[in-house]
Amino acid sequence: MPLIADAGALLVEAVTAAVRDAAVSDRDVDFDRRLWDDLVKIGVPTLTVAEHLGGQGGTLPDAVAAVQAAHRYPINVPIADVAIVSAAAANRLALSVNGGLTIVVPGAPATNDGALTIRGSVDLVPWARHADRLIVLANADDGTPGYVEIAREEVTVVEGHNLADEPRDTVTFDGLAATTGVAIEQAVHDVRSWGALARSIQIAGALTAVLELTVLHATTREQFGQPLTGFQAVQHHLAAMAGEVVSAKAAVDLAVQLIGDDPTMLEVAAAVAKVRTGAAANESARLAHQVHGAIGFTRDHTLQQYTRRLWSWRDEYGNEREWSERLGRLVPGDQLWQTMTSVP
Amino acid sequence: MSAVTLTGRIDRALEFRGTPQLSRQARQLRTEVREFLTEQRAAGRFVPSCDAWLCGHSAAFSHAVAERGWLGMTWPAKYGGHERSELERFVVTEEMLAAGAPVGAHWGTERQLGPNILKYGTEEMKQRLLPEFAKGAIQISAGMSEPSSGSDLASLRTRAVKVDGGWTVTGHKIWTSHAHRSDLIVVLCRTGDDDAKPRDAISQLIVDLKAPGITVTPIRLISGEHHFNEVIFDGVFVPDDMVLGDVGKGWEQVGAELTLERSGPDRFLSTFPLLAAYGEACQSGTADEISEYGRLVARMWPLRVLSIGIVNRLAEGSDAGLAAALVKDLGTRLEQEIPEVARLSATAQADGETRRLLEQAIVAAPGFTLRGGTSEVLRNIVARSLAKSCP
Repeated sequence: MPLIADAGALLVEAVTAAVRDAAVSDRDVDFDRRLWDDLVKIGVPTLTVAEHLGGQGGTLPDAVAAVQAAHRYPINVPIADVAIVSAAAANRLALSVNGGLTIVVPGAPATNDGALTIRGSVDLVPWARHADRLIVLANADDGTPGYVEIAREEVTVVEGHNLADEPRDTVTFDGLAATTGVAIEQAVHDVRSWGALARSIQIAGALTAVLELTVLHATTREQFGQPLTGFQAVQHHLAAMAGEVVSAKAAVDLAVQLIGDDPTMLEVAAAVAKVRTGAAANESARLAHQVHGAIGFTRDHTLQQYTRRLWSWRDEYGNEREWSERLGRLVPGDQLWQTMTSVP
Repeated sequence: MSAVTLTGRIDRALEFRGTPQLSRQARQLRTEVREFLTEQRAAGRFVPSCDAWLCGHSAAFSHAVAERGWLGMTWPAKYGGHERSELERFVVTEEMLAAGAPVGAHWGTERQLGPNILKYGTEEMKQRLLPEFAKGAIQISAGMSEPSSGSDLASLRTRAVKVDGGWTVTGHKIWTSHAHRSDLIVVLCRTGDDDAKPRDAISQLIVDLKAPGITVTPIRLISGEHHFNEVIFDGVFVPDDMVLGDVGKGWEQVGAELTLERSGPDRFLSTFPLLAAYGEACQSGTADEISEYGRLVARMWPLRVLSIGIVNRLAEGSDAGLAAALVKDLGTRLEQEIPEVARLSATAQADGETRRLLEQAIVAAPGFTLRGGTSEVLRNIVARSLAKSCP
């Protein structure tokens, strides 16, 4: 395989072209099959899955850059869930990926009487109805973790949505035998962190677009004989938003660096990213709507395609309250400086 | 539903260049600095403080730092510097700030005034002054703000009039940190006509604080401490060889200096000692107290990443004005938020050390978002930059 000078940048370029294409084509579908196929062709969904499992053996930084770039547009594909969460699960559980769309179902209820049996429902599973396969991660009532990989047909799916009309379905299991073992415990524990990281990446990508749209609006919309940028109050909103956006992106960069340097830092990394991007999503959505005025508050306008996503993603895989407490416990004050200076 | 068209121009304007990994030398240096700080603390040379880079003035500590080769770190050896990288300097400064060490005596000199002399000074001036700065032997203050000219610095009225062999300076500076214990002061003054544009009419003159005609009066902060001064100049003579850079180019020169002043980790670490103490004390507290601490950590940690990005920009000669304004705005607001949050934690307040640092932070806090450029001014700068990035 020839070495490419900046494979990551080429990847981002290809992804950007594909999502821009999708945006311009204005496909009003809940699952953009054409975009998904393009992203599969580029190799993003299984980028970080080990080669011997059928993936590309690519790096997390490259996958994160690709997913973040993709979310600068309001896309309707589960690229973050698959490229980040499913890929991590596949690697951890040594599951082969054979094309197709695999979705992780976390937190499935199970009973343990000698063997682990998954029975019951899980709500708000991202994209379940479009999955070909599901990796189901379960915790029995006695705490024993387990998993099973199955075809989508083996479960019942009732459709649901988040605020952004993205598929968030209820999946019901009727007695599935799960595999248990020490190696599985980490995978089951880590999925929440991978999910939080995925949503953080999505938020960071969307925020760059929200900032650009808002600045564009403020420079073009005129009232009282001048563009909105002529008013100090508006200038300050834009500056505050820029601060949130760069902080969100830095938080994601930091998380990726922490994980790359020491995989055991996954939970800390996910926590910083989710808390900071969640806060940035709150502030930026509010300011974006404020600057856009009434026109931005309509269903016709582009802005709400982003802000409904931000309002959804900030609460998925744990919101700031949950993760800030986790972070506060993981990095007590006497370890704070040491940890903060671990990377770079 | 309208389709979206993005140009990515704003992304590029806001790009912060990351650093994959600090060099082995930089990491080794960090260990050395930590050992030094531990020794100094153990020997009773300092007690960790909030805002120590302003309030912690210790000539002895600065000498000790200089002896280790940690002043003028990036300056050429021929000027007494140590020719180390900007990132290595960053490591030293962030370690000292996080430890709440008393770096106040050398801070302004080392951070911005020395570098500006390195950039704009004559060879003779650089040979004469920089080695003394790097030894911690001479300190220099910045005379910029005036009673009527704060944010609107260009409206300053201190005037330098050309005389034989030099200039005479008359005027009134305020908020000059440590002027009462410095040797020199760089005075930003008007040398051109009153109606000329600032960028052609303002100069920087280096004045000897022992020269006749200077009166230094203390300003006491609400903490009761004396770090700031009013400095009155009454026909003070300044020889020609003490003009910094070019006559009439002072405004442009001070712009670069302001970026250096705004861009460092001192803009988000001023209350770090309190955050660390709160973060330790609250572990036995409620989930809410711990969560609030975690929230502050998540705000601070990315700022370090952004700050390193600024160092990289400056090191490669790129403009960092926008980046510095953004990080200072975010950082100083966070510095204020830390005591606001810590105060509400009963568990933290019950800890003596946390309470000591909290009290320091509360009385210092109003200054964070004022000094070195108010948040309001910084936000105007950011917004102008953003608007310019749009077609």
